[in-house]
Amino acid sequence: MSIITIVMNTMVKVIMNTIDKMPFLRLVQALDPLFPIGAFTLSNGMETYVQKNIVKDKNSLSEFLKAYLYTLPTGDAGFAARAALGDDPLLLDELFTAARSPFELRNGSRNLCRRLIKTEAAMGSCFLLEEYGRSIAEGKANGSHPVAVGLFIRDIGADIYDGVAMYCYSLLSSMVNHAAKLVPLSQLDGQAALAKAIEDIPKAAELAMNVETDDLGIGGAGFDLRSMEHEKLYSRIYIS
Amino acid sequence: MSILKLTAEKRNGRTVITDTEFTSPLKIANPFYRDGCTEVMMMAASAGILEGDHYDIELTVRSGASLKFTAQSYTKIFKAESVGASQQVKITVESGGSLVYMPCPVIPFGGSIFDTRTEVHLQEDSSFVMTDILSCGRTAMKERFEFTSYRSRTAVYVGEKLCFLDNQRLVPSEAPLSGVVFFEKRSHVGMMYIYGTEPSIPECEMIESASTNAEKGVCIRAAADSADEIWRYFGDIII
Repeated sequence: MSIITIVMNTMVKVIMNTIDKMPFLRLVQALDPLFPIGAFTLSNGMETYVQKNIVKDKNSLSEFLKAYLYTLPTGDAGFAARAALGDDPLLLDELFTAARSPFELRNGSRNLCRRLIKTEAAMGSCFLLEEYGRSIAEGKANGSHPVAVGLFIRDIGADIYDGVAMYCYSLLSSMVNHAAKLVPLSQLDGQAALAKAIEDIPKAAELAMNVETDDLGIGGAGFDLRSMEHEKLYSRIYIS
Repeated sequence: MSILKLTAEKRNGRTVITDTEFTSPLKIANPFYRDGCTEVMMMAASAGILEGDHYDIELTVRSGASLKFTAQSYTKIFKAESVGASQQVKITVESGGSLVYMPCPVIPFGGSIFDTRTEVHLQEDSSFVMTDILSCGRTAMKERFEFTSYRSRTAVYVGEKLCFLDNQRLVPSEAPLSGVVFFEKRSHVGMMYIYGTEPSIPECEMIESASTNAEKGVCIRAAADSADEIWRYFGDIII
């Protein structure tokens, strides 16, 4: 093989890899809990669980993560999967907004959604996401973070299953970060609880990909109760 | 299949029940009139809901009418072998109409399978209140989370738009329902939804409860160790 062929082959490989891996890496960026859309301000009920001393150590955190992940296929992960699979985003938005009855959760998701659209639109062209953004601006949609995530997966042509699994991870990771800030919990214990919860993600992502429309919005009554109690907590660090 | 259908209309200043249709074991007690509101109580001439039963309930409240719909006894769901039982409730409250829908708490017995769907159609200026209380089983017999599955979906539309959705699917073999995210170590959970009036919600030390503004209307959730406590608390909320 001539040196020119080797150089050519290497270049082709680099280009192919770039094209192939780019959607995946864009998704890693958008779903990173540190992505600057404000996820760090929303504990999604975790602050109530900690203040009521229900989540207080590694075991109770593990128990919470397991139950929370169990609700994701019909919750956030399910909405994202259906949007990524091509369902009408306005119908999904209406369903999400009706089902997410605790005000702070609904409003938090709306804010994350709007900032995700703004940030991604500033970085590159996302046709579906920007169209959804216009619907929100016109008052035709409320704004749902999972719907925006699903449209983004579709826009960049990422693998849907991978995207939904990564979204589950992102939601769990955020919960662990909030817990680690609120509970005297070591970083190692937090990560150990997260590692254990991750084992159920493949199943959750698979269920999310196949969720029935009637099942979208199924959650936990207790989780909603704690999220609603957050509105009246005497002192709080988080917005939800 | 058992049917219960009724229509409430305003005639000569008070709400009367006009069309009714029911089949065994469902029937209604004679309506009584109180404070400008007509109250109807559903009765079931059976011990509970058996496998294969399907209840089809349809309530229509016409413009200007005011109805309260209650039930005589707890909804007991009996053990099933395969298909279980189901219920469909369709509620329509026309413009200016008012409905308080307070069926009794539901007790899913060990081995029971139940699927209940409630669809509520309101207009901008309708008023509507509903409560939904669920027990984890026959708690007096120490039966907890022994039902096979419980599925409940309540969808409230204002005009064409879906404004509130309470969607529950409880399968004890799949998840530890007694703990966090679900029953929060309590034996009963309750949900109350109020549309069209600003409720005054009292503080209560006895039970865990909280309220929030849903997309439209107010949603209140509670968890406690008895259905009566939640029932009484919901009753104290002034609507």
